[in-house]
Amino acid sequence: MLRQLHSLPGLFAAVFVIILALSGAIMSIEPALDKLNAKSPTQMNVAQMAALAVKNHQGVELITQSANGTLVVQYFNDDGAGNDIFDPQTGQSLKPQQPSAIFGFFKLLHRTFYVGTTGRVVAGIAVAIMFLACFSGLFMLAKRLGGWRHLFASSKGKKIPRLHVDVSRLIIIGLFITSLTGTYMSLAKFEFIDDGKGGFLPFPEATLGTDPAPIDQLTALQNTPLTNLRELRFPFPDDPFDVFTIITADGQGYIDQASGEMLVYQANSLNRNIFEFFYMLHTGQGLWWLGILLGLSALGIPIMAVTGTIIWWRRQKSSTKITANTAADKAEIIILVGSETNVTWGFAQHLQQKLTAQKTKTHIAAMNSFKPKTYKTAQKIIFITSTYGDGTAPESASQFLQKLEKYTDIPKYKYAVLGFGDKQFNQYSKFANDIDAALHAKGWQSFLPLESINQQSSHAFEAWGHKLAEKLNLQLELNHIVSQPKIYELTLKTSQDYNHNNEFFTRILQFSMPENMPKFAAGDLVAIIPPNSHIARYYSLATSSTDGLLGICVSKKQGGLCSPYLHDLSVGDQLQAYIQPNENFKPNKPNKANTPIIMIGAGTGIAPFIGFIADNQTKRDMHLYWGGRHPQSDALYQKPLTEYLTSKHLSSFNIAHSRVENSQYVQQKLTQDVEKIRQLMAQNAQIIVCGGRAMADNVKQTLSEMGIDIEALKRNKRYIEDVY
Amino acid sequence: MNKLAKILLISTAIWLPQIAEARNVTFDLTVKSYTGPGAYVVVYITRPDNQLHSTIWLNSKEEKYLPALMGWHRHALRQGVRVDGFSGASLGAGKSAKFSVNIPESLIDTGYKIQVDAAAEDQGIAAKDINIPLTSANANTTGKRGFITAFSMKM
Repeated sequence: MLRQLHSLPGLFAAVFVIILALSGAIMSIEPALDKLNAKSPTQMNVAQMAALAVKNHQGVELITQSANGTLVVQYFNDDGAGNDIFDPQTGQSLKPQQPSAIFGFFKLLHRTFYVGTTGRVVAGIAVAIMFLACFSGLFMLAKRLGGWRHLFASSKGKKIPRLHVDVSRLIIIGLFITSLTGTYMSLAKFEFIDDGKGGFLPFPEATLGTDPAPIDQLTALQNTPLTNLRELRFPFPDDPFDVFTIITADGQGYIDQASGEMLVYQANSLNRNIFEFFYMLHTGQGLWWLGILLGLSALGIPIMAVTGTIIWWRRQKSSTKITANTAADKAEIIILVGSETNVTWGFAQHLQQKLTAQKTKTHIAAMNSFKPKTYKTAQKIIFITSTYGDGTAPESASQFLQKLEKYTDIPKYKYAVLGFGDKQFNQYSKFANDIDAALHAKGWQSFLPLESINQQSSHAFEAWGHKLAEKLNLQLELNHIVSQPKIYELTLKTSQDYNHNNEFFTRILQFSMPENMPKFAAGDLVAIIPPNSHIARYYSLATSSTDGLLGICVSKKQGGLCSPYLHDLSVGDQLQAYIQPNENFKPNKPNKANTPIIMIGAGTGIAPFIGFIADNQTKRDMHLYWGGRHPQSDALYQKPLTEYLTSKHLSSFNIAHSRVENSQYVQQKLTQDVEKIRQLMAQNAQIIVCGGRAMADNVKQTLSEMGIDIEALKRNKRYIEDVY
Repeated sequence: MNKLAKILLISTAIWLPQIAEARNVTFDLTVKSYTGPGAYVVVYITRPDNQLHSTIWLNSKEEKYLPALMGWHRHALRQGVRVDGFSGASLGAGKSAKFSVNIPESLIDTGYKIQVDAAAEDQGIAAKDINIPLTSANANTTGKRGFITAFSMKM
């Protein structure tokens, strides 16, 4: 709901909002430029200033002061008319006032899009939508980042949504001010809100009508400080009954030109003061620095509109129509889906289609339409759900737990839960865990243990499908791929083989690649598509595209499809692959302090570290902890690592061997170095972990026991991992 | 609705009854070229004693912009106003407006004047930019302050 409220009006208004933002950003410079014209404020009163202006100009009609303090005198005499910026200290003209064509052009564009009242209405709606988008966006931001407390935590996820989040946090305060005041001004323009500008001060009933006094003798003008003045209108010449009209920051009045008395005065209404305040906030007139800040914020709006549209578009593309859905009361298998971005729907529908093709009557629906009593012929129920942000329910499952709460019976059918998540988030696939726990607590019977799939892995989905098929006594080949990127041909250039007692084969491979291959860096993934399969396997890259070679390190898995294939490749053989960027698995950029890096891994998990070390141009402190089997059997990358130690690209290399006397694991090396690690953490070191899940869990536990708060580090990207 | 706007609307109905001795006069005016929001213009007749006689054309109903028409507005405040014609919106920069009104014979060649005020945001205020006698001779002139770049009156 929140998402629709955010994205649909946003899309509708995107183009207009971009125009408003860019024109507004340009105009935001104007108050600062105007401020340059202003002389420094003085202790003068209006009478002194007006007398000097009159002394230096014939036929003064009007003196105005901009909110930024620039004074302009308008006069008309035998030599013609003039509008001059002048110095109140001397009364002399400084230069003619030239209205700016550029600001004039953008002002009209900003207000009306050059289509008159229609344009004003559109601009008003667009700015109101912008306000709503700020408001709804703030709530979405808090939800995504795991609560209001984490509003400034580092953002995670894919590139475009992350850009959307990062820019929004920079500019949201500015956008709130701009859009709220803009909406208000639009409502005031169309008189839905009273701006207090209506109602003229009635002309005084009696004026003296005798000879005018010298202007510097007029007491009401003497009593008005110059800084307070907005406008002073002079009486018509040769009309002794006419008056001075004065408008100040506080109100307006008429002054007798003979007696100098304030004949009538009216203070500004509350509405007028509110309008002036909002006008100042919106335009920066009278608060030039705020104008500049708001203008800079506005520059972020086009980025928000474009990234927002891309996010919406991707979501639309992922949504697919349900075909051949069996009614809930006739189906053998019920699939319920919890999805935020529709990607999970894609996986679930793939499963439904495959089951239906096997003549299994399958019903698929959103988890929010959970109606357990209607599943009369069901034998199995499968929950397939993602997790939103830092652990909450995705949109199509937001009411599921409440609905489940009300249902007290234990059904005859058994359940399975499949989660989709992203290990970059602290609460990996948390909602799937919650569902599983809730069902278990209710006494429901499970037929397949809970599993979670990281980053939409087709491979993991296929593997889960095999387990499911076994339980259902079916043949299931799930091969759902979220999106198929462009594929490139790689040619094997070199390979180095390692083994331990003729088992545990490991191979380092280096490929040459076509020139049009997209850029990549160590830590990104290469997806390799083995023959006879359309599902790619991912490997961490040990090189960057600038190295001219694409390097990986692969251990041979018994019964695997891709790793044996890679182990059988000969130099000159070609294969199909594409690059999968892995933005969240990169060392923090070296900052001024050149903060240290601690790399922890085992086995082939060393691959990305080799690339990180090779890229260490600033020679920052880099420490590698690595676990292998035996110094004779898997001394991976030994030669380059020795060179990197000599060249100071690498500060220390700590190896734990598991197949030697006094066998050791990498986490034990960490325990031995506890003091050093604490010291490095005190210098804001970043920890990078790469390798198997069991190793990563052990490392986490060991570090936690040292008193390191891993969850807090993760929020600041000081603990990142790539685990398989 | 505010007081002045009420006066303006009511007076539209009562101004210039269908008297036989009236002449149809056509006015044509052009405002200067500039870049920015449109201009507000008022055309009015003043008596030989320099007081406002009547308002024959005004292109804004929005009360808050009327004080910008500084010469006319002063008269209007002092005497109340009668308006014969409204054009709905402000006049875009460089644009022209053409309109006709019936003017009683008694006002022509008897010392009455035609005056025009114009103003636009950031472009200054031009009070009495046009200030010519209301005579039976057709007039063709430009504003003294340069806001009205062409003005003609034909009977």
